[in-house]
Amino acid sequence: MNDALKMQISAFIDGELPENEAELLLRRLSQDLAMRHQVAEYLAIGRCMRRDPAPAGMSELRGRIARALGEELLPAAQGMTEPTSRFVRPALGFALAASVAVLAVVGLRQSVLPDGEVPTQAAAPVSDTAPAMTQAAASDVLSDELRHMYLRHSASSADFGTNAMITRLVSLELQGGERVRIDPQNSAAGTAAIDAFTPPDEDAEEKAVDEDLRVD
Amino acid sequence: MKLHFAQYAAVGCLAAVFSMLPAGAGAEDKSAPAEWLRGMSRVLSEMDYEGTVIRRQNGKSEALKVVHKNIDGVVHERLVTQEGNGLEIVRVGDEAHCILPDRKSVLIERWDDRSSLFSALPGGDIRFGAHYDLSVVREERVAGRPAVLIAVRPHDQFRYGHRLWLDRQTAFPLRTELVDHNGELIEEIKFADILLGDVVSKDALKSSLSLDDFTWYAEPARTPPVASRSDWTSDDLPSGFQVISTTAEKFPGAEAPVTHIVYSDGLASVSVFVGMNSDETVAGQARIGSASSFSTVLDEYRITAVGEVPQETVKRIASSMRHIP
Repeated sequence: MNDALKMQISAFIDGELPENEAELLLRRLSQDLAMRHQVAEYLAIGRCMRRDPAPAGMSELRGRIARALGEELLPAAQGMTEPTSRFVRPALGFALAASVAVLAVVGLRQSVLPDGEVPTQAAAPVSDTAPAMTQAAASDVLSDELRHMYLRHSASSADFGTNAMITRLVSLELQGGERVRIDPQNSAAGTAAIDAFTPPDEDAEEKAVDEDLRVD
Repeated sequence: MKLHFAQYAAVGCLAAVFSMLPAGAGAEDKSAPAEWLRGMSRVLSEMDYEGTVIRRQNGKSEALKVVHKNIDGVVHERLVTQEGNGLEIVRVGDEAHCILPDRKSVLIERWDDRSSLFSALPGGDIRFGAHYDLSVVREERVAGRPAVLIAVRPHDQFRYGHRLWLDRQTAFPLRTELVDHNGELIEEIKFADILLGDVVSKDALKSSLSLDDFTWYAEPARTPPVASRSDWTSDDLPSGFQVISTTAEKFPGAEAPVTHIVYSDGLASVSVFVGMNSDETVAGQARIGSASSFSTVLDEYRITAVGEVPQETVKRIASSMRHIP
């Protein structure tokens, strides 16, 4: 990416790019996948350099993009319904938000969604323009069994270059809903919260808190 | 003493070769690429680091802050996603805390393996030649530092290749790429900025979040894997793969143990899990991060293969498993 283009993108993010130039920039980005990747990276690095942990301003940016592109480029949010799993929402929400920089530029469909609303499986075909870091996150979460297999494989492959932290990150992003088995540690409120996550027929023995892991 | 042009050229070539070796590499080194991998292994086990990592996969990017520091022999690590809900993973020794700020929750997980934030590739010469080529390609700058590009190229389509940009001074992996047989990117992890060594402070390990009103959770205790013998074997393994371990394991919440067989060609590894088939649906194939998985059913058993290899490889291995009565 040349300096002129960087400056143009920077001006666009700051809302200082003339409307006609903004439209040209968006159309160019919509046709150039490599450039979108570069822009996403550029935005991400910029936030890190500014020590801005949250995607501050992204909602406004999406709005500006939506306005700049016009309604005809923003398909209606058909098929977007509430997820059924309590944990699916944050899992998918994270996966989507993790790529918010790309979404901000090319997330045409997502740009019409209110913050925090996430697509369900019915919206899976949007994955080409709704990037998430893990393919499965676009349409599903991992089964608990497959998640454990993935983690065990990672642990047994420590001698072969496995990036253990990334493995856990991916695992968390894809963590399933009712299948997640976690136990309350520090409060009655925690007990109530965990009841919402855990299937009602859980074996009582499996719910036993491991004393070694207790946090007071 | 006067040197002729040819002698100057020879001296120049020698200087160039040795200038490409990582710090600490001796004159006895026979294989510079393998020595670079050994240097990478050393630095990852000994050196503290902190920086901004860009992870790219499947055409999508995300930024992460990472910190790794050894304190009195205990590994401390922290990873913070820079977008979305600011998910944070903090590891102290054999315990990891996964902090979910938007849910005001902390999940506690045991870290009961030897893996680390970044792990080194095996550097033994025996692992290369038959199925991979290993070479020093060129020098490039990454994260503002001179780096040496090391390429690990697979000979066939059953395994992935690696491109490693190792810090010229320390052999630290500033950028890594996992690529398929045709050179297409599977996953890239690269530092946008980095601090190495003692300058990494303990303060960087502390979560910036106040966890006072967070609820803490832990997974049920895991049953440690037990080495075992298996009556399962593959009759169609891709060339070079062989069994390196067999264990019996029980997943949290599961009633029956599964057999876990690890196959490796010395660089890539594939885990095969064999257990009784249950009602729980497991997708036939999936991509999990940079890993592929394939699941099939044989008689009353479910067989699942998982590994950082192409889909074709996990499918072939899972489909070739046979029960030996």
